[in-house]
Amino acid sequence: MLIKLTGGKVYDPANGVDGVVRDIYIQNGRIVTPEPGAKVSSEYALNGKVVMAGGIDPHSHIGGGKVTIARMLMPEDHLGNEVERTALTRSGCGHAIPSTLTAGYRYAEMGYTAAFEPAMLPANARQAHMEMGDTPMIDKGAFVMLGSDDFFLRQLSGKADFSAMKDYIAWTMHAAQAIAVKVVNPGGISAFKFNQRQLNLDEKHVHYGVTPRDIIVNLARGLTELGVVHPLHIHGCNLGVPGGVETTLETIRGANGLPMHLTHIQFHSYDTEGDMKFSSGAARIADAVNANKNVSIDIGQVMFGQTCTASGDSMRQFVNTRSADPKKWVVMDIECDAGCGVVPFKYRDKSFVNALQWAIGLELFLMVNDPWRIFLTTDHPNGGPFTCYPHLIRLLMDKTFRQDVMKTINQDALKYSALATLDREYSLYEIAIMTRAGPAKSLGLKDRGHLAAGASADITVYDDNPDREAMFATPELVFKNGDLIVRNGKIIKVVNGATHVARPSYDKGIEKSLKQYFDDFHTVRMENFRLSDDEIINHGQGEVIVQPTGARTA
Amino acid sequence: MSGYTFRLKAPSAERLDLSALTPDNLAKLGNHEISSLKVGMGRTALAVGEAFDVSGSAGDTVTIDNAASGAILDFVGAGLTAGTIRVNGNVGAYAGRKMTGGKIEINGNAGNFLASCLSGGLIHVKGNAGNNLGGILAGDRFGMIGGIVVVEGNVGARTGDKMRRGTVIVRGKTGEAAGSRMIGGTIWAEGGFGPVPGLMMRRGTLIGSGVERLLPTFVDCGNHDLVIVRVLNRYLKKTLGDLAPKPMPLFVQRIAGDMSTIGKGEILLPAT
Repeated sequence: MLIKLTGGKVYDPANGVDGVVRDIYIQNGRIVTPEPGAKVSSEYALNGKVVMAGGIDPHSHIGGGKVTIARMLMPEDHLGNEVERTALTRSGCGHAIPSTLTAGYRYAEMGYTAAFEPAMLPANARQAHMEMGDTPMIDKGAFVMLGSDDFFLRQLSGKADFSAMKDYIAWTMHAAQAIAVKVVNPGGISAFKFNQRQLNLDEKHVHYGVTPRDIIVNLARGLTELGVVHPLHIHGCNLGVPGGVETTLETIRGANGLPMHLTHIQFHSYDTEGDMKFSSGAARIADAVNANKNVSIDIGQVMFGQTCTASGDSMRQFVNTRSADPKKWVVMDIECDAGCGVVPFKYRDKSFVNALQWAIGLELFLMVNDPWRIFLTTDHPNGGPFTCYPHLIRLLMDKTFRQDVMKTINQDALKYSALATLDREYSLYEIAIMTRAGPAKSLGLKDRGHLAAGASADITVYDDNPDREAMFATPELVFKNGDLIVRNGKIIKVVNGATHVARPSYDKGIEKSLKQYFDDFHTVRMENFRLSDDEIINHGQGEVIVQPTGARTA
Repeated sequence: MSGYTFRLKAPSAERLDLSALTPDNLAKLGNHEISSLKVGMGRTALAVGEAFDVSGSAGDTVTIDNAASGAILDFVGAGLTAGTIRVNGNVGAYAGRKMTGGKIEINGNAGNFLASCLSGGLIHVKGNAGNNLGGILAGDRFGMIGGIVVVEGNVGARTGDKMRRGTVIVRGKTGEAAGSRMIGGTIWAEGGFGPVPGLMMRRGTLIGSGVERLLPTFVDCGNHDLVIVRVLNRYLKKTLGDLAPKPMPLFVQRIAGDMSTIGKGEILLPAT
């Protein structure tokens, strides 16, 4: 069956196509170049419409223990946000932390076809993949968290052979079915349990004697040498600390050219100028990102309203509990290998701090020149739920709208930010890079995020509405693997997405020492710790797609 | 008298959610929109037009006639800000939930969670009320935080659960554990309290003619002539007129508790 999308304006940055009118053909779930004279069985006339690949969210907490804790902590997030079942879709609830099914539907209705869970603990991998398996419509994947786990810190402090460390990283990626590796407050989550309440980049962990810098450099180098495409996904030290900008700049300098991805960098861009000792460090961060081609970032934009933050960074979340609204929170240890902190937040536009956070995020968006190295996220649900993306896109594309919103927020905050001086407006091409092509390239999804022949037919068609918020909130058509799943922002077919993983090679010899370690210290045996493909495939409900990794060096 | 009247057509097997039928909300809608409002909470999702005969025009009073049919009407006057809702017959659960102002008159009985999280206005029930009057649903921090509830009959268990402010007046008797987890406010039971009133209460005042069984964590503080009793008598007479309870005698026995918490709450009984 050959499907033809006729006459749409195509934005396909991965192939350098910027708003060119052209036809796209779909066959068997793939974009194809049809044989001459092939019979078109259905055709969609898309004159004047905007055609892009399906959106890809590279950082969105949609699965894993902390999301479940957040759901349990916030029953008021469910009341009044009930979603009725329809003939097609199942019921659900939630605004900031929607239930799994509802999250999948909402992503699809917004034209997104993939989202990646960035903080999966190896010990929680089974739960995370079950939840993602329960999230319909979109493709999923997860980044496994390393760097505060006992085995790795022992290796590092014991000056273990570097190839053994790499074997451990690769083994964990296999065992947890991950596509990349994330480090959260390097060593800090562990240090918190040794009564350290802060861990700077060069501060030693009291027990292991290693510094966050050691952890970052070793993990980043390990991943590079293993050939994993997505660089180390770093949630740095000192999240949300005024003055944290210095730590972030030092982290970039310390990379020494190793590729790294700094996530929700907005929370790490605070300076200490002014009466409140809180100001924007966005300009310095943007300069550093512009100058260092090895660094990519996502923003973690703050959006005003009620949300619930969920992070693995128990050390910083413990401090944030003071600002919890409503006043309740959970900070806990998980299997002695990591932690998690869940703190509800209400970002208010009249609050100096929140308004400045909002401005800093936008400043970063507007000051970083290369859209290939900056991705559009709100760190769902930490800065705001992913359903804010259309509003955020309008803020970036429409200077007048941005200035109108700026008039309504805390005016003192704007004095400590350069946002008012920034005139840049994003183009549709740049938005397509930030939300599709860029994340796909960075994550190493070879057949996603672009529209050339051979790509998976994940396609979103928008009406070219000058109100960009309305445009991106209700796509006209969304195709997933060639199936039309959404029409005019409403689901018309329910499908299940695949799970993307990366599998760098490792020496099986590592299992010998790991097995001993699991027998001595862990609550489960090594064999049961590992997540098999069958558990994800779950009798055909899911699918595992192994994305290519480069060759292992050294 | 201006305002809409909704008369139930037939007994409905379905629970109905009437939170949309407030004077403010109806004033914004046309006749057609009103009759197509969804009120059913079950499979058939009844619309207003299917469940009710609607008469009258927009005004500051809404009358709901449930006298004949006995259908279960939930969320009557939920979120009410101003105006009056008058119900002939019984209402179901959550009547007046999160109401901030205005008045609800119920000429019948009320179900559970009457006045849940009420923050202002007056609710007057001619019959009895169910359990958890003023109480919380999952995720709510406080129960009643203002307003006045008057129940002519008896009330169920846990009246004023997690109550923070406001006044509850019960002409009859309360069920078990009135004022449980109370943080403030006043509950006045003219017919007396059922067993274990003030379970885990921190602050707040329970006033009544007697107690069926006290918790061991409540301590007798003796008889007092408390100025606040006079103030309260006078305030209620002024605010409620005929609805006010019969004034307390000026000499009262004070019982403090719950000592398993901070123990700043009190039960006031006529001095013995």
